[in-house]
Amino acid sequence: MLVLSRKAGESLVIGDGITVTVQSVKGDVVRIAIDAPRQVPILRGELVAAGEVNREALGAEDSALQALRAGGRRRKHPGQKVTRYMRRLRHAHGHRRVVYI
Amino acid sequence: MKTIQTMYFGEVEIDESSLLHFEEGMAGFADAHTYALLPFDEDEGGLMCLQSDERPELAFIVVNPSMVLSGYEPRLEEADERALEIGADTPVHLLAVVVVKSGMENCTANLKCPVVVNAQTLAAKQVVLPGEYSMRWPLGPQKKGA
Repeated sequence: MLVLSRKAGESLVIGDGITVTVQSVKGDVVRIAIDAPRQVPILRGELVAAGEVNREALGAEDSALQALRAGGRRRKHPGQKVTRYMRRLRHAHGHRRVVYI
Repeated sequence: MKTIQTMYFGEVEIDESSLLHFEEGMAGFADAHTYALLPFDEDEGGLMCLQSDERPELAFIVVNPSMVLSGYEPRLEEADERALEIGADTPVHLLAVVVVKSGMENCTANLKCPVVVNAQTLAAKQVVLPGEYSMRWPLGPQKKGA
């Protein structure tokens, strides 16, 4: 693996037509600008990991799913409590930027 | 109305205007752009199925993440808010993808990458949250914090 140190404003060129520029470094956050042809997919590492979790999620065994649904019904009451709590929270913070429902 | 083949419910009639639109698809499944959200139970807060209307085998078990972790109200990246046209008062649905294994203690929900739905337009996206959330949060007993 190639490891390089770069400062804000410096860039790297990968292959033909991909330029990676470090825009800024603030604390533990590095802001990166990527210039690449449209057909080159750019995904955050977490989204690739999420794809793996999604693939795993598709293989739900029916018996396990039935058991989970039954477990959910047993916990129905606490779940409803959470919903009521969320509603109250929304009323209390009516000015919130995003309303979660 | 439109009849679709589903993974868990057989043939289902759905109202096409209720389909969720994923411009980028789900993570790892970029080719499927429309899904129906089908609840397993009447119970609010129960398990639901995010079912592709074109590919029956593409069916994710999802749950409202605030049922899994109380107080779950994550901040979204601005780019994601822009992509979904989420403004100051836009109602938003969140769905967490569940990995179902035998035994409740082995089931997990992805709280790091929820599906965010603009409830007005039904535009949807599986996002990566900036905060410290687990991709494999256990569904068992509730824990404190994220």
